[in-house]
Amino acid sequence: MRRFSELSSPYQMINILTGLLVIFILAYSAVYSATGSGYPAECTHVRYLGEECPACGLSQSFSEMIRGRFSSAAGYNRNGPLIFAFFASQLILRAFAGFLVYRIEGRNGARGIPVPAASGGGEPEKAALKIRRVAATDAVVSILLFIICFRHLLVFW
Amino acid sequence: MEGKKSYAGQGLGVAGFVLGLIALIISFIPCLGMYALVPGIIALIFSTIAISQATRANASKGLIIAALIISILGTSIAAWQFSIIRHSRRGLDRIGPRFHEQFEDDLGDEIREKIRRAIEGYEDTEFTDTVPDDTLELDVDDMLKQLEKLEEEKKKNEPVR
Repeated sequence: MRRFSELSSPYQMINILTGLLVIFILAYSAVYSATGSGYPAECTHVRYLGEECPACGLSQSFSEMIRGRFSSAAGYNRNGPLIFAFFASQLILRAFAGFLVYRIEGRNGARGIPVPAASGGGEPEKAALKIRRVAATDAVVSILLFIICFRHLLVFW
Repeated sequence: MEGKKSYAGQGLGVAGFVLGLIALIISFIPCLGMYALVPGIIALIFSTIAISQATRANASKGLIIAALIISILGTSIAAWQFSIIRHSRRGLDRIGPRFHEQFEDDLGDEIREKIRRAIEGYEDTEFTDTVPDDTLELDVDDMLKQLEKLEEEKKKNEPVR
């Protein structure tokens, strides 16, 4: 079992930190309830302009989604379930990519990226290349998912 | 000879990347968009320091450049949202009182006109006396007696403290 400090590939660190961030968002949604009050985040549009925006009710929608009440979640914000799906998919992606990189690094020693500069095509270089491929695929999939799930909010601006 | 590549700036680069990612995602949510300025600016600072460290140590800069691009994008969108809200708010503050005065004037004119028409209509109307006079007579003494009786009953019913 490797220590946390040995998971030092930058991509792996990003996986861990982003995964923790998504867990925090899901925990926030679980702690607060849609029927209760006290969400700390207040909509700036309502506060400064007095009108609702397409993201209003997103916190309530997330709280309902995490409790499995999908139709109620869509009632609070029609984009809520899709945006929640983005974060949930990110948690799965982070876990999957993290596991892949862990296996690649495990076979070839820690620190898949960056590689020794002036060496030939040895095992560490192949491992680094594999990790880069995983990172590139992950980036493309994540960007596509982001565009699909946030499209209503992107169009708003 | 095998030259070992340096990891200079990688830690700050990762921090900048994650903070930039947070800023970018938040900046697209209209409710919170302008708050993305905070992580965005921090990410921008981290990425700039990281890129200077990596350049000095001749380290790899791919991740740091990605962090810098994401931070710039997130901060720009957040700043744009902030400016939109600030300008809209200013506009509302400027137009608001004038709109209110204008609205009050228009409404006042309308109400005055309606009252004038109602008075004219009332003056032109011929009323027929359909209510007998005796129904309008009030026995003030009787009413006062009844009121006194009610007050006495109320005092009796009040619980003793």
